[in-house]
Amino acid sequence: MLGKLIKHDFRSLSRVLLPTQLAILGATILATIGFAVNLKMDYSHVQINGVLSLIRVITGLLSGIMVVAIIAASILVAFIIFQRFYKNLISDEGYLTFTLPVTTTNILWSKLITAMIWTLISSAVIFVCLNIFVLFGTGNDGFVNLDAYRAIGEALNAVNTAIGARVIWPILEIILFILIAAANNILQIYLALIIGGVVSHKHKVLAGIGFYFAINFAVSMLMSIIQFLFSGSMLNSFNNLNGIQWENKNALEIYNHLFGAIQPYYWFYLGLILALTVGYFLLSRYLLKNKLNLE
Amino acid sequence: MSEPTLECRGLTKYFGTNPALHNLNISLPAGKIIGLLGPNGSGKTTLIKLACGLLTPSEGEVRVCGYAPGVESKALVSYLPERTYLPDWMTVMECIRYFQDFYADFDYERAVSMLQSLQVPANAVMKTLSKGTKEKVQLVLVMSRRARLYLLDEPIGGVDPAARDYILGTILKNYSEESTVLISTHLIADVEKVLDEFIFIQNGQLVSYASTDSLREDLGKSIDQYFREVFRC
Repeated sequence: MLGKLIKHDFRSLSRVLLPTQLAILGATILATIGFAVNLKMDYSHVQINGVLSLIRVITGLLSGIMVVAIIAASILVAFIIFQRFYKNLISDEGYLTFTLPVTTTNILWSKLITAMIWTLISSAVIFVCLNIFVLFGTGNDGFVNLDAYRAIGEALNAVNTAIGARVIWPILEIILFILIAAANNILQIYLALIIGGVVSHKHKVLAGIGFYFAINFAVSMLMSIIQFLFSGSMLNSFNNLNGIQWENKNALEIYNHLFGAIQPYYWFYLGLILALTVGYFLLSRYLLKNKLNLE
Repeated sequence: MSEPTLECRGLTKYFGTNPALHNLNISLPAGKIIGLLGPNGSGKTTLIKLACGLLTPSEGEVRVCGYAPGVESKALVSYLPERTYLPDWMTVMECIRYFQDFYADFDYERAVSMLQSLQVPANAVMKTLSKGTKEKVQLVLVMSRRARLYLLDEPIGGVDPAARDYILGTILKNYSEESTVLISTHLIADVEKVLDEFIFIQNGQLVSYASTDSLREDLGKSIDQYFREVFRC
């Protein structure tokens, strides 16, 4: 049943979100063409005639469109994900959603998973668009610009020779952190919307926004307290770095020292965010199961 | 005797300090069409929402074919709320596929033929349909399931008298020996002819639960007359 929930939810999201991604892609192509034309125009003539200067202005503006499109689409993606959640669960459609023969746990999972998938899709689209722009829009002499990629390749090579394949670990840790932080953010907003729907009868969305800030405030208070309580013991791992003769160390040794020193922080903070995320999930499930009074 | 289709024991629901339902005890058998009747605010909708798991009881319990509200009971209950709950961007056909996907007891052929009889365009987007047509679509979906318990909250309030007759006819035709239909409505005169039994509730409490025939035989009254007497203002 979870698969069916995800399928239908994904379809209902994609119907609205796919056009936004196509818009980013379209804006990117325009911006890329504009920038490429702008770069390759011959400015050596002393007098620039009217048409030429008009083309310059237009092509210059085109590249701005891409930035605007990316920002607007990112906001829209987030907005629509949460709007779908609200409509499906807390508005009249909730009568359908909550009488399906599925568990509340599965409903929440489906909402989390589809939101994560769409966050990943929109991030991937932005990544691809930036690459299109760099590759085809910024070539000075040729049609494509491979300089940037060459530079990145060389940097990666250097890292690889210095510290080897173990560089994968910090990368994996960053990816893991981003995924959990994304789930944490999504579930925090879901929870706020649910609380808004439970306590308010008239202004559910407004109440939800209020609760979002309230939860944020509570979490940052909690984080400050925890940081205060643990700061002494946490600092120890960095204290170990004192007295190391850095100038005598090679890249691998420096990497090992720093990576090792960061680990306690990383796992502690990750555990904390994970605990919050699980807490949001369980509280959301409890409220949806027992407290949601659809009008 | 087999398990009752719907059973309430000491069922109580408070909204704040107001009891919407108070200590309701009732047991409905299989194979009956039952009217759930009472004045406004008597707890009809609350009872139905408790039975389909949209609300949790404050006290007591409700069971459908022996199951407390949950995945098993929801698979057996076909619920028609008194509002439109279908996503407005879906077409009628997409709504049918949605039901077909989630409910194992959904009868696709039945749904399509009912839509044709009611002349609902299958490819129309829900948003573009009139309120009455939307209600017809919902009723078709709900009655196209081969459920054990149909909970119909005001099923005919928004549709014209001709459609009303068709819908009541459909309910009569489609329900089977093992299924029970519970209809909540104000339009007693319209549904009276299809009811086997009726429940009167007021202020969240059971006033009477009897069969239509016994009312006719013993008191020589129709439900409509009896309702007007019991709930005289």
